[in-house]
Amino acid sequence: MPYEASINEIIYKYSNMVYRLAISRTKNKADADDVFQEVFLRLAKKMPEFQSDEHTKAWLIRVTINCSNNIFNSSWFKNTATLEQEIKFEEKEEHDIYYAVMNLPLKYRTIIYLFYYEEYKVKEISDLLKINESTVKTRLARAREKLKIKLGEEVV
Amino acid sequence: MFKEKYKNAIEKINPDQELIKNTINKINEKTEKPKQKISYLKLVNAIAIILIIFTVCFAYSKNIIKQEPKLNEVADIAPLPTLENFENLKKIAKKIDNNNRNMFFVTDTAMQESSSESISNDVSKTNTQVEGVDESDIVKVDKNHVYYVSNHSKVVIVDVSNPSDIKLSYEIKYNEKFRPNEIYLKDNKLIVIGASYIVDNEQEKNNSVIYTRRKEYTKAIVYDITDRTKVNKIREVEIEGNCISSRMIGNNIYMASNKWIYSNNILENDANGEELKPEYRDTNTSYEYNKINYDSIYYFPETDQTNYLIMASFNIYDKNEANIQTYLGGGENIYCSENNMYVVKTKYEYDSVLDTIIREIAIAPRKSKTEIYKFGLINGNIAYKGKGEVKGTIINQFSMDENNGYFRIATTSIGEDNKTANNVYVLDKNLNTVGKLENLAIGETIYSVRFMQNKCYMVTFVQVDPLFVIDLSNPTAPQVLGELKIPGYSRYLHPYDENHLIGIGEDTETIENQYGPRVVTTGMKMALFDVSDVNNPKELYSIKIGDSGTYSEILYNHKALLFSKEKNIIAFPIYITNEVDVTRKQQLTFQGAIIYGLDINKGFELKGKISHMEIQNGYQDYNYHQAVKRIVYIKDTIITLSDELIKTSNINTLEQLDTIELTVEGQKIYY
Repeated sequence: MPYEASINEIIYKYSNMVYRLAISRTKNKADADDVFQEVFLRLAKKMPEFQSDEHTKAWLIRVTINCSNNIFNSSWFKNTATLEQEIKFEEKEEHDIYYAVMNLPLKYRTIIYLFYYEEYKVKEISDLLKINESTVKTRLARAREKLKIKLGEEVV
Repeated sequence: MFKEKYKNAIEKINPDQELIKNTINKINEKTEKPKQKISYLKLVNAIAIILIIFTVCFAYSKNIIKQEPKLNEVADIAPLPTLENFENLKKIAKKIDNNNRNMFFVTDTAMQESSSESISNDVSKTNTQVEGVDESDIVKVDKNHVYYVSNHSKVVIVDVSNPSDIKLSYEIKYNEKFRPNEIYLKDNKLIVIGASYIVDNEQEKNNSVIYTRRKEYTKAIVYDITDRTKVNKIREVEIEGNCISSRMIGNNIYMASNKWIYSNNILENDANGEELKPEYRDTNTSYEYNKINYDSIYYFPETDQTNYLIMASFNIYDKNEANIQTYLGGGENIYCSENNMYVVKTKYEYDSVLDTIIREIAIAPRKSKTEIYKFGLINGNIAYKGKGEVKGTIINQFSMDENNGYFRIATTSIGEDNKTANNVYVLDKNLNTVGKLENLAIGETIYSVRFMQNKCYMVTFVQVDPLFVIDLSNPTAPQVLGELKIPGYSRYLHPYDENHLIGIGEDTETIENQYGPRVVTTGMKMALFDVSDVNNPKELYSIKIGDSGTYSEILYNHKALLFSKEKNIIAFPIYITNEVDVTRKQQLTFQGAIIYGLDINKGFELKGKISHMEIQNGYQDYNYHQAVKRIVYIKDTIITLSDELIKTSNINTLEQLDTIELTVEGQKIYY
């Protein structure tokens, strides 16, 4: 059974995911907007033959990561881009957690997003990011430690 | 809990409808182009490529006949081809893009190593991997002064000649266009290494181009500090890209950077690729940025990257221009001996298109290789010396070593059955593998490695920590001499003397529950291993520090360690958490320097702790800018450093002598 989805379907289905991942990485709306457009422009240009929803999603995640890397593949940006609190939350707890995560270094933010929000397994993240499983585990552990210090609660 | 709250927070973030609409409009605009034109273009492209191939072959063969020695003259290997022109770069990018549409660049700037303790007993030195090869750090000291990068925003020079009355001598402040990261110190020269940054306004306006609109340079600034109260900037050397690592050997600084270029950016560039040329600047010859031409960019014929690896070397006393070399390729980590620099990069394997798809669907672990590029370092010059490749990936610079002309590397790889395996390879001076030991500790992963002359000590881990002692005295036949299994694992191995190793890591416990055995960390652990009987390594002493949640920068950065055998000091910054009351809830109880002594007959002895903040109510009292980051000593004074404070204490009693407050510049962190 061939898998077929039009570009518009894909955009509507995955726009939230792409945008959330983009903002998790770039930390600001303007750059996330750029990444968002670029990801779907690339999709339209390439229109790869996706095998499944999972395949589509994995492709989009990787391209989103690529495109955000293109914007700021620089340690300067990663380390110093200021985090403006441009996203408002009504719940204080959500605000604290969101900005605690956003204050983590890029490599941790990405893994936290994929692990806790997209609920990918360590093995899957390792494949998506093309890094060792052990690296994913280490980063996850360090991110948890850092969050624990910031939030004062165990992160599980 | 965390997960639910995080999910709820993320759910609130959605793209504007406007953005989605705009995107769809843009897509429609782009896809409305007449199809015929595209196929016509393709045809032209194909012809162009064939022509280019002929031209390149011709040019290349001509090149060989000419035998231009250039940078390769010291190497007894075939010279690398250069790109010659932008068309050639396009061709390579095209090939890579087709092979590998998903490739992207993971950069881990962890780069450092060393075991040499201070040669002079008077002042501490950065804990480096290789004696004679200095590594940059956020702090350096000499007899009377401390030089320190505070909060990556300024460099302070503090006069500690009287430890009971320390004074700020000078502050070097920077604006947001430069971020100082680390420093080197050599006599009356202070070298600040950091990132400088340019916004390209032209490209900013044109919002369809989002790629190279920010430019980053790896920059070294040389100061004359003959007068510590009035330093003089004498030189700036910049290369484009973000810093992989740097080293200082004698009076020569070596820096390596990556400049990332997106392959579409090359393919879609119809001009001559002028703006894709990497740039450099050396104020010894010019204040302007110079572009590196394609005819002086070398490439490895089988490269799978469109990034530039840019290397710069210069003598800090020299008036000549820095030696800059550019390669199409990339690096993630560096090992540097006194004579050679090895730049390594992970290469993921794509066996076939089918395999890639199968792996994508099955999400199987990806097999990987480590590519090694060797560069000779001769009097401040860099010369390519060859390339090698081994199975698996490394953990950090300590996974590599050079001894008697042989390069040794320890990797973790993924075997046929998708289980991890650990390997040690020995490569000769041309980077051909001459000896190997494969498939050690199947299912486990390397946690730390240390090469010492003819031995390799390797810690792998799943549930218990085997410490392997590997004999490399015959480079062609490495063999396991002994192994020791203990709970916990070492993240860093430091030689104490020729028969003893200090391992610093985490203690673990295996818990059985309905899901099977699970390993949890229960605090930090420091152990002394006796390896005098190589067949039977022993753990002589071990101590546990704090409870689960305790951690230290030493677990991932060896420069955080202060070690001196003569002064009998083992010190590092630490965050200690303890289970506080009956609830067994973990609370931060201490942040600061922890200082141990080691008596080979008695074991570790806690000498004391030095903190810059008082913690009574756990994380509520924690202030990031008061967290101790480094510990150094000058004669009988211990100096602890945080962003906000520098404190001197007596080395024996640890009594506080004086403090000096620093104003925190740059972006402040509140938590």
